[in-house]
Amino acid sequence: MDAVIEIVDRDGHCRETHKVRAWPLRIGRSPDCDLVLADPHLAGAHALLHWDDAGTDVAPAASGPVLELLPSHNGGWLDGHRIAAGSRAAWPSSALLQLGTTRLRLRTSLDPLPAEKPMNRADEPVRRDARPSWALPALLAVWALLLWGSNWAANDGSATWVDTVSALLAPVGVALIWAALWALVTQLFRHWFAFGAHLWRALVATVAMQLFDLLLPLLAYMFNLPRLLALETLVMSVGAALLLWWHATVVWPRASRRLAVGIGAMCVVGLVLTVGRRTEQQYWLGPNYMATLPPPALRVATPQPVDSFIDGMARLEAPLLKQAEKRNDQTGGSGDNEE
Amino acid sequence: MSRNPLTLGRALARAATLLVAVALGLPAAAQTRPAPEAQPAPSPQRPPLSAPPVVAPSVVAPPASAPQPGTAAASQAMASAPVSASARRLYDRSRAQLLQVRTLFNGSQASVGSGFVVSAQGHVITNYHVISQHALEPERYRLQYQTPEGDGGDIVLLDFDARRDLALLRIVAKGGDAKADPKGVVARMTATPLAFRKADQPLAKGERIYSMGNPHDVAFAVVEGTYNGLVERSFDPLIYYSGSINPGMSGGPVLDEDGEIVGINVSTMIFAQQMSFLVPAQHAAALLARSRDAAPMKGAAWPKLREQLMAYQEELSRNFLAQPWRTLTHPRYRFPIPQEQYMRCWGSGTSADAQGLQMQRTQCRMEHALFISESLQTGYFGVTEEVYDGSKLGAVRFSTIYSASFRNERLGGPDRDRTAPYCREDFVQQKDGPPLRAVACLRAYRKLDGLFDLTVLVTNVDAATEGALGRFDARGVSFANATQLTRHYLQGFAWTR
Repeated sequence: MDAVIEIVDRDGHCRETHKVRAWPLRIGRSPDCDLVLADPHLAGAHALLHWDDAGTDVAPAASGPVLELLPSHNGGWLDGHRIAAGSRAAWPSSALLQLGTTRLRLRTSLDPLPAEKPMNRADEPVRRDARPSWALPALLAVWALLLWGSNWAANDGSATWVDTVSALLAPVGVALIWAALWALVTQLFRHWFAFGAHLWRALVATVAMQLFDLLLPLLAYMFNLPRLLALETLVMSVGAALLLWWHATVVWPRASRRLAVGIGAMCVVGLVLTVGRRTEQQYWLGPNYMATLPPPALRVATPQPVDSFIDGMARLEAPLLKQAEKRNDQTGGSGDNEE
Repeated sequence: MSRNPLTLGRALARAATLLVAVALGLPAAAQTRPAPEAQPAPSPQRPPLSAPPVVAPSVVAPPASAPQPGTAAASQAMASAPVSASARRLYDRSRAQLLQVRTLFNGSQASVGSGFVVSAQGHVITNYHVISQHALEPERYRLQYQTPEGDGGDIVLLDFDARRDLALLRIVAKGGDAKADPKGVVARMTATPLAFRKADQPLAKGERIYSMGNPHDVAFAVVEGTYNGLVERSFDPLIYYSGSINPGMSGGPVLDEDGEIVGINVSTMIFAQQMSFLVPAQHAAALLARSRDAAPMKGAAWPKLREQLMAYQEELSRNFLAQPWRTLTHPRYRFPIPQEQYMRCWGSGTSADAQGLQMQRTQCRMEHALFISESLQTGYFGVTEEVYDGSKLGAVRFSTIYSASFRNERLGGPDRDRTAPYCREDFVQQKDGPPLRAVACLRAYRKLDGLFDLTVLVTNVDAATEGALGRFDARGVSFANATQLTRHYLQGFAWTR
């Protein structure tokens, strides 16, 4: 009967296999055992593994492997059940045996062999050429340019070069630290200091959101669509959630669906809280009014005459009066102003 | 909108806006307010100031019953007399009519002010802001009076005039029966009620008048000062009085040499010396005449307040809408700047050699607001115009800074008095006018149904490196007037011909 014993680590992954070349198999610390385990909590000869063809007193119905514990201090556990030294127990393939601190699993040719699983993409070797080598520096340069541009546009010419450089370096520093922390976490779980991968993700998301932040108000202004600005909050929180998920899939590639659900739920809760705080406002999301004033050449929308603007104000009266009813005890007639 | 340093003009404008904030009722938390410089918290350790040595009074005060400024000799004698003599005479004469108006919450005083008896039936005049807590929440706040002698009793609210910050009360004899007044307190108070000075005898600037009241609940005081005419450029002018009025004296009478009521203590300018304000007496006389026979008010005063504010905003809006706009001198645009008939404008700006953005600001507002409650003042307009020149910056930088300034405007959030702002915004252009970006925001009053705060923001959007940001505020107007005022304001933007 062919069988292998798998030595299993704490995560349940097989670390090493040992072929059973002859029955019975002696397990222990001593060099004359068939399976030598370097575990100080084992006796020299700790256990004996038999193949019982006829069925035994312990497992009378079927033939199968039977474990006999030899005299020892520590004995063993089969699936968490204590086996005392000197006793015998059947060892089915599904059961995890612990001798000393070592966990063992038995696999025989009688057990059905699962089909070959297709490769998980995350388990393929990390592709060093995932993006061309110039992509990360180029993206960093684009981001630096964006930062410099927005910083330049926002000051009135009184800033010194020191201000400019520190305004540029601060966000870059934050991005580097962010990527390094994620790389450390990746190192912890996957033994891979994935600094480049995380920095890439952080930069892609930041640059995309920054560009969106720049272009959306322009679009809103050009076509007089102030409600577009509500997208800003939405896109920022969804974008942040996506970025988190993207980072996390590097660390836990097998759990990408669970991560998506978890981070998605957090994002939804965050949005609900944001909206909940604004229920008394005119709009659930976005500012009270559009404040962007780009150069006049960008304006596409045609202005209205004053009268139609004033007529449009009438639409505000009913919702305002309805809003005023809330938190107003006067209508209840109690005259008590406690809120 | 806050890019330039605090200049003197702005500091003044700001100080002036606080005028109403120090209406002189003395609430329980008075000490924590930004108090004027010379207002130490009342402390019992202070040496009593009540008995100044009389410095050789050459003229004995005439008998209380015989005011006689008739002859030239007499008035000359009066003028040369040490001032304390008149003050003492007037105080002695009117002390029986003075009282402290106390608002009680759970038996202890929530705020105190002063008042005085003006009729034989026990009518008392004080400020609306002294009794506002009782007026708005009568179940929680009770009113009582106390005389300089320490006698006291209940007092009821008959009517008020929120616009003039006046209230009419009446003393309640114990048991509703004047005979149940063993010490004769009420009888003494109502024996010789104070009289109003006739409207056809105006005071002259510099005449000495005497303010009375109980500052900081310390003791009744009489304060000498001068009449300086009416406050200029105000919609409802108050008397400008050079004398020290302090919290707690609100509602107290100000008497002339004849002991007739000239005005009622109401407010003071903070960060200023001896600048105090009085409500002209004729308004109190009108309130007394109007509601002499009114029954005590029942329930919270919101409906009456609403009625008075509606009438006030109607008058103010109609008056404001009838005024043409002035403008600033600008090569390109005309801006709506209000007449300074009852608004005061302050100008400021960046220095001529400033780098970057050049800015000029003109800020106009009415400095007198109506007191409704500790958390709500209303009934005033304001206009601010900021003119930007970004030719030294270029289009992109100008646009960023211009946008930031536009974004920076505060509209207020929802609170217990008003809703959050609801806005309408669009590009607006008058025939032959410059294109504008206009935002009109309204907040509704929760307890004053049909009144709104209006804020209109307007920017010029036709030039790449110059522009202007205008803001118009109207507090406590009806919806119809809000739209009228918005139209009026928008129509003030034009090209310079």
